[in-house]
Amino acid sequence: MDVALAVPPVTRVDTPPLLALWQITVDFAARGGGMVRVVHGIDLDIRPGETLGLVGESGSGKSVTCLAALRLLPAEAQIGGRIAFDGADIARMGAAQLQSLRGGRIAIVFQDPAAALNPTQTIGWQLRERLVRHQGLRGEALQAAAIAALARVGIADPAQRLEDYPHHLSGGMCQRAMIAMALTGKPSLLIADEPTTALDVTTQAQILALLRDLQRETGMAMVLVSHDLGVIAESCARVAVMYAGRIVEQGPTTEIFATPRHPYTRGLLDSLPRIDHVVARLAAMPGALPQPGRLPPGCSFAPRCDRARPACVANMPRLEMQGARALRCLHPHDGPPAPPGIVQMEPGADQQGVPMVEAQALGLRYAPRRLLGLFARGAAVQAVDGVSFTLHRGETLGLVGESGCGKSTVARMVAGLLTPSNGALRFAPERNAAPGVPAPRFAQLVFQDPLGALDPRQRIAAQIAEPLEIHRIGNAASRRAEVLRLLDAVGLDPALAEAFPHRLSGGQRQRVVLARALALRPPMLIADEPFSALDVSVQAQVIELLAELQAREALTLLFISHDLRVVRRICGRVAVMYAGRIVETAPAERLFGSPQHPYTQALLAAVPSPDLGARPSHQPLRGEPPSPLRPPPGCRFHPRCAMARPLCRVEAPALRELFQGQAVACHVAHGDA
Amino acid sequence: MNGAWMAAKLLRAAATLLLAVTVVFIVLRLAGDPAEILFGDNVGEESLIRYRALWGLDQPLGVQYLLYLRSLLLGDFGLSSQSGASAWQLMMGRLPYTLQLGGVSLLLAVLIGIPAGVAAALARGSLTDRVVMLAAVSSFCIPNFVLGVVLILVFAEQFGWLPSHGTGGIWHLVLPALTLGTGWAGVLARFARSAMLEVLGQPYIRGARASGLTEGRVRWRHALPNAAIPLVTILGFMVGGLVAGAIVTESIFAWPGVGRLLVDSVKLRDLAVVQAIVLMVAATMVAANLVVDVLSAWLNPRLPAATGA
Repeated sequence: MDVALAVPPVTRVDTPPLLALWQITVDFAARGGGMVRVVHGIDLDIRPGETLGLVGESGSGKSVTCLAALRLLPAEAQIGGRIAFDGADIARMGAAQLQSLRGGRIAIVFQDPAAALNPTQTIGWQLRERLVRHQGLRGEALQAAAIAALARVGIADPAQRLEDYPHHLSGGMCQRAMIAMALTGKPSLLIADEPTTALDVTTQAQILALLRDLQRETGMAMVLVSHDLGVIAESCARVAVMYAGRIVEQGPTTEIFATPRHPYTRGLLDSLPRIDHVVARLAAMPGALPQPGRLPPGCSFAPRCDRARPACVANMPRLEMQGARALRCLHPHDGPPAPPGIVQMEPGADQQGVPMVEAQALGLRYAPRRLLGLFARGAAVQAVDGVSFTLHRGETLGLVGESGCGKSTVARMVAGLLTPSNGALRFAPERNAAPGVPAPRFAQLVFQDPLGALDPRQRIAAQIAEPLEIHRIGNAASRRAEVLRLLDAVGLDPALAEAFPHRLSGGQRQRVVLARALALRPPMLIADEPFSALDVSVQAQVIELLAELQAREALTLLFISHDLRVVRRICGRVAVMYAGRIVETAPAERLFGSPQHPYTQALLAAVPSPDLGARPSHQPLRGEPPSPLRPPPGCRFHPRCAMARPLCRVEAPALRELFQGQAVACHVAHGDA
Repeated sequence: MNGAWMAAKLLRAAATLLLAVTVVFIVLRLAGDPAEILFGDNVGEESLIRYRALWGLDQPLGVQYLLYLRSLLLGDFGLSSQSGASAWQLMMGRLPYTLQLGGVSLLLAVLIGIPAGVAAALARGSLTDRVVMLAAVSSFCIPNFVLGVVLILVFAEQFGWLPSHGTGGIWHLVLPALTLGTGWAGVLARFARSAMLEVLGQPYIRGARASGLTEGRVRWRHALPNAAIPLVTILGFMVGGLVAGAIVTESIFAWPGVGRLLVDSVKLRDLAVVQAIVLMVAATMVAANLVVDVLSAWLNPRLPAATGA
């Protein structure tokens, strides 16, 4: 570690920084010997009480930087540079000093709250352990403090929740409990590492609001790590954008988002689909983040940059300070970005077109588990209840809702993977046209995790050709030609045909999955969260690819997603699901423009937006979706609905059409546009 | 833990035992006419008929099966054809020796194997780790009959420090227990290491460290209890296989346990004793599994039994 020449750079700030990172480098042992540098000299100051956003795609080094600051990286990692917290050098602290700092004056909460809690101990045990550690409490005072700690983070019935194990709680509740534990040391700095990434959008809004409230209350500083520019824009006063282990742009959030100067920052903003409008085409940056250890010479972003010049390839630009901002670019943008080319979405194929799928009062009920076939354990679960919709040829229907709402179950029933327990599914005659023509040739599925959907031991070409072989289409030569045609159609280099999946990036893998799904030339695709595992720049590429394929091949698309921004870009019509039922369905323009159901309105309001001035003023939706074991009577949304009336508690509203094509299941909605 | 879960587990255990009894019955009948096996060609047809009538072997197979079940339920495992003594009593006379040997070996394996494996995991990649793993792999690669013989040659023959066979005092137990326990210790060390490494890589361990808990607390109160869950399953298998596993060792050291009784009885075609032992082994397996289920539910609140759902 080269900590010897530790002279921190002069900062032009009035208050001394709380945490100062100076020239932080992190090296990991590489497979096959040697070290790989993943963080290349990060300088960051966090001042007391401020909120700093750290944004970048996965692999950009933002989490590693945070873990390095607390020396939480595995022992193999080598940390260089200087970390000063309130004047003390963290790099030179002994174990005892470091331990009382961690969870004490610097606390950290992690991404997947359910996994970050010990599964074999109760919430109370884990919370009390931290209270004993940081506050030295005992006996009744300890129990009282534990109850108060849960109550403070908005957990209802805290005494009861203390007895629960982490798996009894929802993700949002686990994250609240983690935050309660983080607060036990009365931290002056909270590092929140993707605290809402694993959560639903309404839960995310709740957690972000909680963090803001706690910060106001305690005056602690916060580092918010996120890949979501919307989350950063809503919560942070200052933002640092990271790319390939370096900060490329930094400054006040309002300035950075209004006039992004680094082409990567601008690219990130342009890659993000918006909820309020649809651009003609997402300006997707080509390529993907380079692997650590395989950085290009010069500026790491140059290979993906449309402004790169020979000088960019020759030298890594320095991070230059310009007033409150810092920028690492030789040819930055000037001025605000050009307004996006907003388009009016066509309403899609005409509503009177040929129905491809008609779902009538579709329901799926899981019978309770039985022991030895004798004792029923628990109640039956009605995962989907009375779902009706029609999907016309060439149309793109988005099925949205939060996890557990039943959207994937509907997709699986349409795909024929699950048999509905109630209701009926009718398909276009071609599904059953020729006897013996199986459903795969009618509709193909595309799943969320492209790596899990590919066989790690088979070459790409073999996997794309497999559906053709199963259905005995063509001979070896024609299949080979077809594979090359498909690779070309999804924008992949034909040279990748002989590669194995592990050589491909996440975006390339999802392209392979798409190619395989298209091999049988099905008239319909069912895509279940196809982009959730991808980073925003890669996501933009694949979204555009899917939109293009859909238009070119006149595909009918059933698109399942929790991400309303993506649905807005892709879908012509949208159905919103809540607790197993469709609560609203409308053409996308109408649904996003004038949502009628209170749940749809809350869902749209919860989507974080990178647009300035869109900071949330509203209260986030209270509570959590009901357990499918015990859905509330009447309208399932009424316990969380601000407009609920007595009728809503007893009678379930039916879907009724308020406007042309816009139907709402709500007693209250009137349809004032 | 709730009643319905326990009742279901007990029912399942009983069903497994019944299946074992039935299989033993069928296999022994398939092996041929016990009368002919017993007497061979030396006895006239008349004696065979009388023998069959005496033991109920002339009855239809179904009736024989029911009679067999009934006698088992009454605790009657038949008489040894060699000594005429009760097979049950013969077996029970030997059982304490096997339990003594197996218990001590298992204790040895647990006390050496688990700490060694945990130490290796905590010092992953270090010299300790490599030495422990080398020892573990070697220990379960050496067959018991080789290890037993080597131990006898070195410590009994060469140095004369320890007795090579039979029972007597605690010194008689040392060599057989080492022979039997070494392999188990190696297996446990390997499993303990991988279980511990798996748990140490979990996000909640990083979470515990990040909240300033001491390294000792992170290791012993967070990591170890979670790593114990898979180890209990392995230990259950070992306890269940204790009698069968001791056969070779008991033979080498002339240890008067059930394993040696089994070998002798098979050689002499003493069917009543063989089936009593086989049933006892089956019962141990079932009981060990039951204990594993209960212990796992206690250690792991995510299992359905623990939630009481």
